[in-house]
Amino acid sequence: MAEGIAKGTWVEIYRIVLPAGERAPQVPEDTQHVPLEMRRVKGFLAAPAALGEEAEIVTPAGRCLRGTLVEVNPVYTNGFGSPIPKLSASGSEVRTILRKRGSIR
Amino acid sequence: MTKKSSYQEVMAQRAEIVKESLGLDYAQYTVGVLAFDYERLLADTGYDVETACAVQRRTAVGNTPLVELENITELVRAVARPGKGSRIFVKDEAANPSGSFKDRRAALSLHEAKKQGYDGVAVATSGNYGAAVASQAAKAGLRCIVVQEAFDSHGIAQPEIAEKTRACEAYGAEVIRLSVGPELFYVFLCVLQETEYFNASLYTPYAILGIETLGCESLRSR
Repeated sequence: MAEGIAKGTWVEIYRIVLPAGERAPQVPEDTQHVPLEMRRVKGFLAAPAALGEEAEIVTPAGRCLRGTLVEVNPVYTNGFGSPIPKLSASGSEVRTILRKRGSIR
Repeated sequence: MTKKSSYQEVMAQRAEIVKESLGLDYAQYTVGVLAFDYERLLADTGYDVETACAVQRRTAVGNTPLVELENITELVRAVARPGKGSRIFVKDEAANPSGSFKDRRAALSLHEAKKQGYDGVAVATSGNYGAAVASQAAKAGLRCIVVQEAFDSHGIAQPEIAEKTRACEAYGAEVIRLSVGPELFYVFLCVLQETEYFNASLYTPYAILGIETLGCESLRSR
């Protein structure tokens, strides 16, 4: 087993919390067929490990968690998305109204 | 998480776990079959509004500016009937330390957690409250775990929740990002059971009391 990632590296792990079929009884039928996933938790590698292999991390709360090592130095990718075309002209519309009322020049 | 307990096993212990994690037994407040004595529940916390204000001030929470939105008022009057159109103000709660009014609620929760001697706090939330709890925990020097329902059934992260993940982690919290499902509460209970942390849920009397200061401030700034 390759152990490419050094102990102490900031990483992210994945684990299935409840397998399909063991989910809450009130969830719909189609949801029963998929697992409840702890898709991501970040922490520092407790021992050297390889991507895609089982690994243990120490989280910022000091807990030891086990799961599959899925990312090293995980990136935040969320953004603000594309501008909404309908809103692009709203600023000048508002200015026109306020100008007519004399509250701005 | 070392737990291997099934959903049913953990949910069956729900009342006991909540009691241990809050130092509070909700059962004593039940009245009849459906109701419970809300006023007595809040009174028993021992915090009045002035005390809540004082607790919040210690971490620069509250006392946010009340700002008149003159342009918005003018726009409303452009479409209102003559003589109508109230002046519009905003209580700028983004001026709180973590950027929302949820700091008010988290401040009281964390104050209580520290008072009762807990080592850390846990909370199940995907929004601003998580950031508020993580921020307040950092200030109080307590550990913090936030459980989020962060991904849809296709594994796509919801952007507004992803942003709260970032905020919570920046404040030093452990963030458990789950796929969608009501078992969020199950995972939260497992975390409380394993860590014996304080339950900083939005729906405890402490977190509820924390918001009362918002109304008081608004009235006083008239």
